[in-house]
Amino acid sequence: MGQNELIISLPQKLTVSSLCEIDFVSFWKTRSNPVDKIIFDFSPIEFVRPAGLASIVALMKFSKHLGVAERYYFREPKDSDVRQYLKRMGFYGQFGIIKEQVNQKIKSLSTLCELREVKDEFEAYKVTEQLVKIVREQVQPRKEMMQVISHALGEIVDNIFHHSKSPVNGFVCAQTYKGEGEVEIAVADCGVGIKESLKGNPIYKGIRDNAEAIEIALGKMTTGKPGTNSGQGLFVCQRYVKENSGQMDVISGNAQYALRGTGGNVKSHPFWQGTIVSMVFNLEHTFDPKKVLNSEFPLDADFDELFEEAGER
Amino acid sequence: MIVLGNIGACLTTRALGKQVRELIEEELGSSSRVLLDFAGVEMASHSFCDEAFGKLLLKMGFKEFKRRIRFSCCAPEVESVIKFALKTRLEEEKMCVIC
Repeated sequence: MGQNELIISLPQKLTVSSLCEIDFVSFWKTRSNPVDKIIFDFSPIEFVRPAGLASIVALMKFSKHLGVAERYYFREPKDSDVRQYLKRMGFYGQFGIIKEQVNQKIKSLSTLCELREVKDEFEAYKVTEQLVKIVREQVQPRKEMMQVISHALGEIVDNIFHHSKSPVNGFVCAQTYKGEGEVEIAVADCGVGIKESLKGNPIYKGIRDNAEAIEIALGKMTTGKPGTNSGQGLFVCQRYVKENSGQMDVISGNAQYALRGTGGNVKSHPFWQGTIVSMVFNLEHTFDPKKVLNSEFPLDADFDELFEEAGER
Repeated sequence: MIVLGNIGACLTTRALGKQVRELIEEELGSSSRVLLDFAGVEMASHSFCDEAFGKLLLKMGFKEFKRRIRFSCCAPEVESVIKFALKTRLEEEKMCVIC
């Protein structure tokens, strides 16, 4: 192995929880000391979840954007199921790698919402709608859960354009797990991160670190764009996940917020340039999103006269 | 009347919300009252509602908004998100008045 070669070895289980096992320190060093070649080593991988995949694809695109190496290599997973999974998720297409056609039998059994690069905000709407449709077709969640999932998906995809300033766009993917009765949705970007984004609002200029920034971003009416955005997106997502006893992870800079069930905490994480958001919903744990919104934001009766039934016209 | 179900069953993103707000503003130019028909809309995200209706409320003022805008055939969940977005902007409007 030459000195000018960097191997980014990926963990056996590529999930949001195992991203911290990746040697990001060596990777970021290449920004000041470019190398001849970077090898993204997928060979150890035996299991992948959406947040892991979206994050690595964003990182690979970002490394190319930065020009930190002369050449980039991809070492294929040893596990044939993982290779098949990557194919079905559209991973190879992201890098112009042509693989044989996906086995139609496998494709029809698919519970995947393939990886999408969201290039502009109008496409964000289309991508959200397509993913919602796929989730609905695959697991037919109850109406309330479908609303929660589509709401959360819409909010986190929207955030890519309104906050991230990512030079390599954003990546979104989802997967339904029928056996476990779960849906995971994830987005990853390599933008400015939550701390820098919040600094667009003068009241957050004094934020000390990424951990504080994530905590603030998860609060009510927090935005780096006062007047433009109302800053309820992540707050509502977090409330939904709590109500659902699901899981939520937000990684930005060198901090990670991890919510499991109803308890969440912020801890340190190897530096990530940008933001990763992942949410896992329990399909069986249905709740009424209307009640959550009403409890957090009690409504005035004033609004009722704005709404009419079909016959009132 | 603007039929939102023709735009999509899941209304998300600020970009789409902005398009809808512009449609409403265009309609307001020629009608005294605009009816927003939500038949066929299954879901609307907060960002969409804030961009389409919340910002319109802020621009028009609540009194004028109440006089000229009506929502029709909303699913209860969609209605709740719209109200939530309007309430957030109404509070902002009140704060501006106090300032």
